[in-house]
Amino acid sequence: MEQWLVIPRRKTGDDNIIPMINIVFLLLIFFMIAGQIKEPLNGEILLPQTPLGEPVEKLPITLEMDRQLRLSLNGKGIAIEALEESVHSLLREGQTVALLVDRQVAAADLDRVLAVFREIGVANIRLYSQSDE
Amino acid sequence: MDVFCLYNSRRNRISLTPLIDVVFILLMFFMLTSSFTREKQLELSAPVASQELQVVTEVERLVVGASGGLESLRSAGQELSDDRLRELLADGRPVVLQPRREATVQNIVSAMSHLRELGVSRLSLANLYEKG
Repeated sequence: MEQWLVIPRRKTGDDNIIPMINIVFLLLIFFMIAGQIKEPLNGEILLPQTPLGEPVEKLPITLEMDRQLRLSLNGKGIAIEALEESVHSLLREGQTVALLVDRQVAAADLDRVLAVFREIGVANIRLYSQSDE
Repeated sequence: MDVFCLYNSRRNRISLTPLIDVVFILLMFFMLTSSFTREKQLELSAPVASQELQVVTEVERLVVGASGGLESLRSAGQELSDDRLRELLADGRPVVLQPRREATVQNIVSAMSHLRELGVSRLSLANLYEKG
């Protein structure tokens, strides 16, 4: 008679899945806390690496230059000839321009952009870099 | 027999499968969107300002070589050692960097952070160094 009182344990697939869910939850929590969500860079840009630098501040004018020397101003592709006019129309007095340049770009090509900035009189430039932590 | 039926009554348990589906989707989302590189910003004092600096105070002009080393203007082509750099920059003069044509952005940034580590606070990037 006592045998009837024992609760028969139902074998369900759920029992095997629980350890897996534990691990998946841990992974989820890890990625939620350790990673940060941000919009990907336009084109293929590997930023120069350095441990130094100030925290990123969002700036109204952002110029990107990828390894193939393609320029994009605030996300839109632009030719270097048109850069001066476009930046000039966007620029307010004393404003800072953010510059995202691929680490492989030669100084000669960077200087062509900087020469445009010199021409317009951009007072401050912030060069993006990254540190792997 | 009645006793067995009592204990075996099926409670309506919530199945775990939909939960796992959702958790997996969340996991995928966070795995694909998160990035672990921390972006930083380096202040590049404007070349325009550096020209003014040159008039006001004496500056130390350094050349960034193609291998990322720093050279002085007087002995361009020869990399300066850390000790020599410290000696040159001991008086806290502002530094103006002139990259060589073939130096990469990474070289310039490395040189800048190297100088920051040596205690240079006023640093700017000027036009290319063409001679030599």
